[in-house]
Amino acid sequence: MIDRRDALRVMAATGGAALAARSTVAAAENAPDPATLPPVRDFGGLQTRYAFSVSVFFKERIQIDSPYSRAFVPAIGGEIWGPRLSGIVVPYGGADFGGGGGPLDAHYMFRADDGTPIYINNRGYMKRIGARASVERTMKPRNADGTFDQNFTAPADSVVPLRMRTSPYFEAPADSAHAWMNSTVFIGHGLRRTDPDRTVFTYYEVL
Amino acid sequence: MVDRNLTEAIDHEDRFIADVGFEPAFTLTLEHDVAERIAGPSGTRLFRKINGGSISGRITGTVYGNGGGDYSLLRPDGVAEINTHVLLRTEAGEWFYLFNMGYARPDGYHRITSWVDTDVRGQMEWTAGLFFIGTGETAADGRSTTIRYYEVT
Repeated sequence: MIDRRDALRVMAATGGAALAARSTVAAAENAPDPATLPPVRDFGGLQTRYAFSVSVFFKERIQIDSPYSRAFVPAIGGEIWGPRLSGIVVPYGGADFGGGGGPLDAHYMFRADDGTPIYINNRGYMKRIGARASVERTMKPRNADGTFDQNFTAPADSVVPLRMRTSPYFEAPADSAHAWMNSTVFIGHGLRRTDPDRTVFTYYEVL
Repeated sequence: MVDRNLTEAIDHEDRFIADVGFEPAFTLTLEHDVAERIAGPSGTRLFRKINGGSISGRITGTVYGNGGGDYSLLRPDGVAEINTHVLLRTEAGEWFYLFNMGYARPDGYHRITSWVDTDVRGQMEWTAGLFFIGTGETAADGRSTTIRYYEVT
């Protein structure tokens, strides 16, 4: 590891070129053999490659009917598999704090098979297909004793077709084999599944 | 191996590897000053004042030159975490906000997630709540950046 004060001094002196060279070397060491990876897909200049899948399991769902209708949905756990990452979603290591049915803003922790903790901020949107704006949810009336129920249940894609797309950002230890995730843009697709209640995400790296 | 407490074998089937596609949406050119450097506690903050520019494609208009900026953080590993705030005005006179985040690496990789905001009453209502993926390139003189944006399909 490079001492940060030294790093800043070096950067100030060289414009980061010396460190850039080091990081490029590190990237090359961690680069997997392309032959072992899924094919690269090209969309008119933008290239992507399947990186890994994540299943996130849910139980509680709490909605705060603020003007932005915020939902709190903790992850009770989950699994990560695929060509570039394998591990678990840490049970109750985070939640989606996004707007109810609209923007997603989930903060979770992953733990890779080698024990490395990886932070994910999964941001994006979910829209009911065919609907103009976000998924509408009707507010339930107050109970007779004045209390109100803030729990809700999310329907599966097969019940209410949802279009869920995310662009997650990760933070992995700089000296780990997963450091490449610190400087890669990803794109994700989310599929709601039930029984058990979960979402399956498919993540592509943007090359 | 970590303990796999929750797993559903069916989710691992190849048919659940979902397709995600992209379609070219618009191209943004930002005219900006050469970066000023602020040696902060978590890296070097780069400040590029945005002075103007244009957008073309599915949205056409100009960049509002009074107040937009790029505030990227150059990390000790040489990677810049992009953080750009841009206000645009379309030909129809509507305002359009873009927030870019992403990575600019020493190897030339310059990729962006762009979050947008628009008036839902306007012509760009189709972008409401969406994000776009961009590939960027900063000119050698450090005074302009061109980003090609793709809509996620």
